[in-house]
Amino acid sequence: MRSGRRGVLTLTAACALLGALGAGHSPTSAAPPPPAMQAGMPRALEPIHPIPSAPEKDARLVALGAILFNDKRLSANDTMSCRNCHDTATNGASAQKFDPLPKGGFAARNSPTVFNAALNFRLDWMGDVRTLQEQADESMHDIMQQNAAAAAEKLAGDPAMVATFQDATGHGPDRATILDALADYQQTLLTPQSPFDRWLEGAPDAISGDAEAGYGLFKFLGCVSCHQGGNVGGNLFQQSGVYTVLSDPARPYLRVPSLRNVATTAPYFHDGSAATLPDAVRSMARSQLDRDVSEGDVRQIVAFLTSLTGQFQGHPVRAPDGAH
Amino acid sequence: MRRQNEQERGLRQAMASIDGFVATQTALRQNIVSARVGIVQDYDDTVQLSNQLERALAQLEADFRFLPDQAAPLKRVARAVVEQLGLIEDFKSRNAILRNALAAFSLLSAHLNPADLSRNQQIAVTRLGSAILDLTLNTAPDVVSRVDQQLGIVAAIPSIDKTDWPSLIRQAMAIRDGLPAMDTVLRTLSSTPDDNDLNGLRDAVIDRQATVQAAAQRYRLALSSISGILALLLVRLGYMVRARARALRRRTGFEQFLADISGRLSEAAGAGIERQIGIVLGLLADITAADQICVALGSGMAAIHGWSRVGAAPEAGWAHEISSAMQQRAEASLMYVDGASLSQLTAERPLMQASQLRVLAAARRDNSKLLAIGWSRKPAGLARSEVGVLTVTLELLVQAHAKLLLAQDYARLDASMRQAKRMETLGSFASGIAHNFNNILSAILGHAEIEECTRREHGGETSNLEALQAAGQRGQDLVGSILAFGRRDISRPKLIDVQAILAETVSLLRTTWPSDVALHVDNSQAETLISGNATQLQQVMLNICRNASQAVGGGGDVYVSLEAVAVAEPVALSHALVPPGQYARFRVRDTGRGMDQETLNMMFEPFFTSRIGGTGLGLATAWEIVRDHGGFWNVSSAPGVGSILEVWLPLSIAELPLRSTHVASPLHGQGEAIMVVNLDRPSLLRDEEVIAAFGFEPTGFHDLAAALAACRTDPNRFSVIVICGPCFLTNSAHFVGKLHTSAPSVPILLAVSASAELDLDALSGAGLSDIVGYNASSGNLCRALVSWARRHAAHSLERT
Repeated sequence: MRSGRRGVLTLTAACALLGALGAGHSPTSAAPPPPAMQAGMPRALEPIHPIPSAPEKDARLVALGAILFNDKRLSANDTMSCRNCHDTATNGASAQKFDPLPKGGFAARNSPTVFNAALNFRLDWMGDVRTLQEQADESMHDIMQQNAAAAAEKLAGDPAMVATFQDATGHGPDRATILDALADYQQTLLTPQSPFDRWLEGAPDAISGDAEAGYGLFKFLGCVSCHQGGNVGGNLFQQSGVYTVLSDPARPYLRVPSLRNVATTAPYFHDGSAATLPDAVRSMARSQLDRDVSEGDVRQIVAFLTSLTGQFQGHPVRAPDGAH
Repeated sequence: MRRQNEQERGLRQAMASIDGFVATQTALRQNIVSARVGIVQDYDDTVQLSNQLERALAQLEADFRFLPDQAAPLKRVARAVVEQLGLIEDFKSRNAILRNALAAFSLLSAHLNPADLSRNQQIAVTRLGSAILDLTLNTAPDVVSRVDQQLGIVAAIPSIDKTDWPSLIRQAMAIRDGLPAMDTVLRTLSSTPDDNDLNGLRDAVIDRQATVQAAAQRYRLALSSISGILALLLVRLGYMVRARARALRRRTGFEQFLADISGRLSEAAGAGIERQIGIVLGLLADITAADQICVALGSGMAAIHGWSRVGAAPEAGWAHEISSAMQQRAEASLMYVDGASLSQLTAERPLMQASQLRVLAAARRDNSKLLAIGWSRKPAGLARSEVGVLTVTLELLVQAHAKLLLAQDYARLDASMRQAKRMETLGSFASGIAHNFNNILSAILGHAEIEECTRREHGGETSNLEALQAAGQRGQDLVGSILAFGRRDISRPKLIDVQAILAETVSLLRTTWPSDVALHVDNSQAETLISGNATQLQQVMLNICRNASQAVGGGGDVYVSLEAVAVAEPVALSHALVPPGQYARFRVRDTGRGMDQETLNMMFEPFFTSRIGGTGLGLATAWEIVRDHGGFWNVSSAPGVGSILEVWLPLSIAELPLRSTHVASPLHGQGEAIMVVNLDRPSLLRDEEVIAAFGFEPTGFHDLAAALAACRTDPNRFSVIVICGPCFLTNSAHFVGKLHTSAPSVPILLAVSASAELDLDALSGAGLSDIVGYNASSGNLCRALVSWARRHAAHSLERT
């Protein structure tokens, strides 16, 4: 058995070395923080960072953006505002798998939340869109079925709206101003003050033990390889289904979505195929990591993900009424 | 300069953009490597740096817009950026999977229970692990093939219970595929070929910077050259201004000088003019710092004034030399020579050479008037450009000299006028009383003769009566002389030979010549023909010679000579200005007691005599006779030395045989047009006849307005204007002035009877040229007409 022992030892050593080289995650990373980590000190070396503060924007333009965001005249038949699919009072999205369109039919993909969208490096599920202005333009054209220029024309017929534009910008409604105002407004739609952010900033009791354990699993399993950074994702593309086919084979790469407020944004995935968060966690582990995660682990991971729910304008982000 | 500054700023900005781009790119690559090895665990920085790289590229493109030749490398850089960013996205995706695969592989292999595996299986897994470990260090194809080999072995092992064997194999497969691909991405990323292009851009900027700086340098150089040139120009300007100021000061000095001398010369009168000319030369010497000055003012370089700082003043020879020098240099009016050309000029001119001049300036007029200044050192006190001042000075001097001549003319005119008046008065007086007186004397003599006869018959004393008769006889002689003086024979002039008359006179003289006086006669002259009266001329010669013999008294010489003289330019004699022409000059010189000035002034006055027993009528009569012959007197004398008396008689110029019928006067005209003005119509006709008889073409005017109109119509129609008769004498000056204005070049003569009262000043001021005594004898008028007509012709010739 001598040689067998030696082989196992060698194998173990090799794996330890591999682990160190590979990702810096060791199997023991689920253990409690090292004694050096003291309460109150920010956890700066974690792969996830707190939400940054919103950039300074022209308040009048932002206010105009907020008004436009809620104005149904931006849609083809004045039936929908942006807020129809991105309800800032709840989760910045809707509870629908696919939202209905003004002229009938449904959107092709599940509506992502507008919260923290400004922190994504690309927009849209496909990640084809670079800027918030482009995103607003495309959404108005594709979803609200009326392009921004037509919307501006419509708004120019309303003296009150013209006055609002005048106050904010010194001129009447036009396409560019609508898009700029919407973009600036969206940059203010951040949700800080999540328990996990507070934990990161040095509050050890901000999250539960399960959530902390779930964070350890999140890292240990490799979820964090894609969902990292300030927005817990949203800063790279990834193969959708590394080990199993998960989405449209024609578009194998998707923008990795942010997991901020993920507990409030069911259903999940671009096609809304996962109804609950545990479903989504299991599905992800299987397809992306080639792993089957135990129910306990799922529960802990969900606890961690729930701690990513932040606040908007002092109120916690919540799932819309009627979501399950 | 601003454009250059902008360019330099743009180039600096472009350089900064390159640096910023390179820095961002380097940071991005570092970030990627850090992400690869796990030091960086999130892609927030990667995203930020990627965006930053895009912005840096945009900045680069913006900053290189003004370097269009760099478009191609810039495009390559942009393409490389797109490529890099694509690779980075690829990296991010692969890195996530690879990390997870490595972690999973190590976890799965760690979880293998050796008890569950056969020894071969253990060995296969261990070898696979070691091969993958190798692969993490080196993704060379041989290592990959070793991993493939081990993977093949492991994959061949059937799935083992209680183990995640297929997953292990899948993860190993993912690592085997991922690692080489990852390394390829990293290698590609770190070797993107835009470094060369960036260096090229950098070089382009540096080149352009060098160009711009060189241009700036050139520009600055140009600027400094321009400022240097400007400074030089300024200095030059300063010098010019100073030179100008100096020139202006000099000019002002010259102008003051000219104004000064002009004032002096115009204010001066009579003999003062001569003195002022001297002063002017001194002033000219002062202002020009001259060493030699020479002025020739008279005709033919006569009337020379010289001035010299040291040594002898220049003389006429000097003026002639300079004049000939000007002729030689074809410099008609102005000359300024120094250096070699001066030495060349002086080489053949001894006087100029002797004066050792360094600079010579001269002004000349009419070939006969000259003002020359010489300097014996340089620089001369007069610049070449200032030589014009000499012209003006010369002009002023010439005018002054002309004024002097005019004044002398005027004095002569005045004297001859007074003389004529006196003679005329005396003549009338003498003619009037002499006849009666002669009758009285005849009565006395008659009675004395009767009484003598009576006494002689009675044997009485008759010596008293004889003395009485002798005295009466002398009285009759005197009366005869007076009558001869007053009523000279005005018989028709004949062509006479002066030489023959002189020879006859000498033989007459010798019979009564005192033995103690030596008479020397030089009568070698050939035939000398004049038009006149032989008896009267002989009387003149006798009178002069007798006077000379009496002046010599006890012991001495009298020299008598006759010669022909040609006068080219008017010659000033003591009692006249001789017009050009041919003359017979009769000359008597004695070594007697001479005359003082008073005697000289009075010698031609009737009844003036310095000799007891003299009648005082000899020279007076001679004077009149000479004048009647159109002749001139020239007298010079010094007390104790002797006297010289000359009589200049105009030679007859006509071909005598042909003209013999026409010799109505000593001289005659050449058909010149003469305007004759006389308000009295019968007198005018007579005047015209007389003047026509002189050989002129007279045109008579008895209407002043018509006369003026004729002058105005053609100012050069007439050679001479002569105004006759006393009728309008009160306003004659006014009329003369008008005529003179209408025909300024035509001489105007006034022919008046001797008794006329004339305002000479007003007349000469109005432009009157001469006054002619005009009564029964018209010889004076003829002579004046001939003389002035010639003068006018000469002037006209000069003008053309």
